Amino acid sequence: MPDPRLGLVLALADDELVLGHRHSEWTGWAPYLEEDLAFSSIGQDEIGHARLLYELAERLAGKDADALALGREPGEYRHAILCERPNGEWGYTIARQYLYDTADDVRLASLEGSSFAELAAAVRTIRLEEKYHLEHAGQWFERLANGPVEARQRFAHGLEGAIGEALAVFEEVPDEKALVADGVLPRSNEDLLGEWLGRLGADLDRVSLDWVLTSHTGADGEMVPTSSGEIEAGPTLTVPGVERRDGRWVHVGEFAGQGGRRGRHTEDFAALWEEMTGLYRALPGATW
Amino acid sequence: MHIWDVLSRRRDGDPWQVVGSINAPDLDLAMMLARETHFRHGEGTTFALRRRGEDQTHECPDPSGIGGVVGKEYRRQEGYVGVGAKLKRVHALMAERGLVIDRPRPRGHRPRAAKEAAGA
Repeated sequence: MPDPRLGLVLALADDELVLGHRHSEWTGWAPYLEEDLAFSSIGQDEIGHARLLYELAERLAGKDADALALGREPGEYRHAILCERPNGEWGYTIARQYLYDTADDVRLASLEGSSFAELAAAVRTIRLEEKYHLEHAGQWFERLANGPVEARQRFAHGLEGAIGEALAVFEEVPDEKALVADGVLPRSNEDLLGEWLGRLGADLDRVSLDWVLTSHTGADGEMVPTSSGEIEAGPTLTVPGVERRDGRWVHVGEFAGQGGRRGRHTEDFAALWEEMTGLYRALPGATW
Repeated sequence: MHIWDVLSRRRDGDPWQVVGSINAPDLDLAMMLARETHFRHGEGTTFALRRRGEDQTHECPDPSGIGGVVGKEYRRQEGYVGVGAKLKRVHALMAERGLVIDRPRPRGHRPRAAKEAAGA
């Protein structure tokens, strides 16, 4: 019977490793040189955090950190599906970074109070660097949301594409009830999701982009005015499980993109895994 | 887009020294980008920015943690240290598998040799 803490630590580590890998794909391609370096550094930070967490998982799993990071089959990774999605364009990348890092901040703040002392200590260290990721995401959030029309549109489109799957960062981890009871998880993921949605809703309200959180339905759905004044059925924009109640965004029902915490991933991860683990699989234990 | 000169204090008490420059549209983004592009390996204890052509310097409001706090030794490019010995090891490993490098690199990939040949 594996230690229930392992599933939690792997979920945290795999999120950082896989998203760090995606960030690194911008190296050489970011909108301009300074940002290219900045984003590459953030990618390296995330991979560094993953290593710290894999080292913590070593004794729970009985495997070394490299084997945990690179020696598992795709179905054994526990990251949120959001992290494995291709970068797409800059608007999606920044939307995802903003959503992930704000969500990560909420859960890490909680984990600082974990009864798993080594995890709490690692999280305190990680947060010292994560504050810069939040700053980076915040700077770009403001510029794109308040920027020229095209930048705002692309950012809004990126948010629309990412928000549904971002909710599943807070998908329940295996054995979550036991972890909460033991204080390893000071708060449940559902509780943390509520806090994050409040923060997200406030940020989006402030720049009048809260509509990206709104659930629309297609055929029998909401009616919206067109530029000619006619009324027609609105577009299908589906974000399962988010509703506005008493002025607050709350989570209800299912997640989009759930399954990551149980090892269910998309075809996007298959290609990423092939590349990320290629050298390790060809030459296990290789050093350079 | 403006050019910002990046100034650093290598150690506490050192004078400001210009260490480079960056492009950024405003001070906020310039602060973030200067930290990420110039101080990721602990190259200084703090830094400041001065917009090119202006006298005012803007000191980083919170330099704690620049250079990172998590071990970053994997960021150092040490892969090319001792390349000769590594090459010998690779040749030996290849020989064990019955493989050899039996020809030099193509001439077009050896610019110095090609230049010498052209000059001769």
